Amino acid sequence: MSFEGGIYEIKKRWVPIYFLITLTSIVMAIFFLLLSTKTNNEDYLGFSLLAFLVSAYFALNLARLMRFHEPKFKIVRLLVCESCKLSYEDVNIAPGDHIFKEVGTCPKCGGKLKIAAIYRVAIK
Amino acid sequence: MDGQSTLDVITFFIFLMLYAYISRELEIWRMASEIEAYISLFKRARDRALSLTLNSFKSIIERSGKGDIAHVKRRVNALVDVAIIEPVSRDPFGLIRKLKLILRTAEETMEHEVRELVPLATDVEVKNLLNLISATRYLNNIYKVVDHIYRIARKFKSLWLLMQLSAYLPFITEEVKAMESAVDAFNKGFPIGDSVGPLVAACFLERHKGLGLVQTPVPDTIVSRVFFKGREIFVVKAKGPGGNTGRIDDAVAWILERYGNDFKMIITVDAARKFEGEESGSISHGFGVAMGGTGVERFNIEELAAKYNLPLYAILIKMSESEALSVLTKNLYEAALKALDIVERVIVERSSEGDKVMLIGVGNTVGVPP
Repeated sequence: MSFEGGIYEIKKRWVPIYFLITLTSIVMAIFFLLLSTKTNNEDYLGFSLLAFLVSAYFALNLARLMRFHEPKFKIVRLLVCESCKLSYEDVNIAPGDHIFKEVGTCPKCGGKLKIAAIYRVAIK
Repeated sequence: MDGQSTLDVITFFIFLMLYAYISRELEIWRMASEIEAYISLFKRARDRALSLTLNSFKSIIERSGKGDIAHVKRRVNALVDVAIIEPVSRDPFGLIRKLKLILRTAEETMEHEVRELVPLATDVEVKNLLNLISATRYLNNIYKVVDHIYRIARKFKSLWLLMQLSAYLPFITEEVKAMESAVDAFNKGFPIGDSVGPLVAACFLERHKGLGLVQTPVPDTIVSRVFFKGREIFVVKAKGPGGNTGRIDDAVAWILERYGNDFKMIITVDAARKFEGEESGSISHGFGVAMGGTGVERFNIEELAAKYNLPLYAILIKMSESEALSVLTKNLYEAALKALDIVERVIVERSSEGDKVMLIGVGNTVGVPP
């Protein structure tokens, strides 16, 4: 697991707590709202608003936690034919591969195929 | 004021003090739990790096059938704890010379130790193992220092120490993330962001048919002489594809001694740290020696350039610290190709036919031969 994944694992522990607080405060907000309409007491309306604010705050934090995606990459090698200059990306990279290493023959002309570059690209 | 009011005021102040106390304790608890979580991640990164390093040793031992795994484990643990003590700087005279001696001694001793542990390992494997040990040592140091400050802060219940540590956590985390990525790259021997300097030098050699004309006048460093538009270009870089940064200053001194000091200019190409908001892979020009690290080699090259009055030009490829130590991105590879075109343009614009120019690819050459 990468470092970002580790940070996410730590933050993820708060998800059930955030979810519980959000749910409870929404229930409380609705309860106070109903109470204020039944009793015509404005104090309950204030409590309801406060509970709504708390639920909004925790819901936002929850959304931020849920949105996290660990960035993923794949490492590819750029192969170039010395004769016909055909170039293409290849994912069959092995530890020990390096730039300018000969890795076989060109599928098009049979010339020498070399690694021109090794780089990582993001997986979407 | 009656008795009831006085009691109210006293109660109010007691609540106020209690609130301030609880609030402070809660703040300490929040900060401490956050720091603890990060420390556990730093420890995990260190342990992972150590296990990868040991696995690399094990795989070489298993392949070659020579070496004692238990002994290797003990020695690697000791190498990860090695300390490099900087020379006293109160009297700065000769400081760089002393620092160079200490660093060379450390490098040579570590290499000797690794070669003894895995006698049948190739040169490339030895270099990559040395890089893995360095990265693990760095992660180990970070973990130990952060843990030490945290424990002191908890011991003395110091909110200020915790606050300072918490403020530095984003920067420390960036470094740990970068070093953790470097461990993966060194383990497989793939080029990293910092390899763009040697990559530009290597591509220059390939483009101008200089790959077969390589000499190794000083350890771990190659020099190749090629001709480009009537100019004589001396390309210097660390010797790849094993991960190392070479002894560039010694190679420059060797070239000046052997081929004369009438060079038109010295061009250095290196990775440079970008600011947040700057585009990764952007290229900037500069004057001076583009070279990071301890400053020993930069100092020596500057000394030589000043002695022979050689103009110093720098080409910097911008990237984040994390990119500099992770496997090269496609964006940075394309930036290296653009930098190569810029190097050629600079040579043509700032020199004439018959001139001698030195091109230095600075950085770790892991995955980039020759």
